[in-house]
Amino acid sequence: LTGYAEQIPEPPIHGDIPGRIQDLFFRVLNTEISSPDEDVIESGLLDSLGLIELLSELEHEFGIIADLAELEIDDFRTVASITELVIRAGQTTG
Amino acid sequence: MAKALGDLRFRAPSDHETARLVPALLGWLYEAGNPFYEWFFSELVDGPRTVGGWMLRPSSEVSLSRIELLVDGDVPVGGFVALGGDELLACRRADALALMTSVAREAWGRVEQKATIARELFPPVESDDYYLSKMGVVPERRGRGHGAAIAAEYVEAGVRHGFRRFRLDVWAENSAAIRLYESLGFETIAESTSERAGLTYRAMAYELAG
Repeated sequence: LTGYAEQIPEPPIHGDIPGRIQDLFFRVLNTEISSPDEDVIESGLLDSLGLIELLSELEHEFGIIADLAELEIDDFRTVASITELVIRAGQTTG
Repeated sequence: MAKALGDLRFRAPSDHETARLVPALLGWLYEAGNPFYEWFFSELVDGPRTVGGWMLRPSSEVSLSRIELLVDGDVPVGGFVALGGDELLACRRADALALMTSVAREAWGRVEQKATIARELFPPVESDDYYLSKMGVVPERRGRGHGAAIAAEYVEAGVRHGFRRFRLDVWAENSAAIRLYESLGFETIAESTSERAGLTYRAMAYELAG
């Protein structure tokens, strides 16, 4: 039975993606993101180390592999844009 | 008193010469980033090759478009890279992303560790600081006061851009550079050591009076 279970494919990314990203921001940046549209690039909240941590944590949290060749800083601008990035990566990773 | 520079002058690189400038500038620019660069890139990527590639990326801290060249006739003999605090933050983010894309995912943890140490070594730069990222002179032209001319031009460029506070980080053992910056009025505001990296850097600042 265990062997069988292992062959069941991972479910697609589901649940409250923006909420999980907000939690992740809190862990990485120690900062509460007030709205999905808050611009963390413009506000200077996300520095280079924060970006590195965020990208690794996103891949870990959602089990995705982002297409690095396609990544832009703008993808990390808001919780909303990161949600899109996660969904996009989830489709190609799955 | 203004220093007579002879045929020397400062100028920005022109579009048509960008590719050929990389090998001409990479030597002093990489050296200016050392010993931090050598430590930071080791076990991750080929440092000089990576920085050479970044020089061609407009969003990089060391993009050719941000270099102010000191040329003799048409021969580059040195120069500097300086940028405002906000622009520096944006460039460092872009460089971090570029680095992540060029190392294997297994090395991401290592990049993260090194970036954490980098944050300990280099205190934050404020939005209204004009930051001297790199400056240097080609080896065969050293000892002629070009460094002093470059550092003075950096401050003048900042003034032209409306900055009143100047910031830089310098390797604590580079006493010649520290003396040069002190002669311009810079003072040490912090000294940070990372035991893990085996590096000590000094943060220096200079504020225009009045």
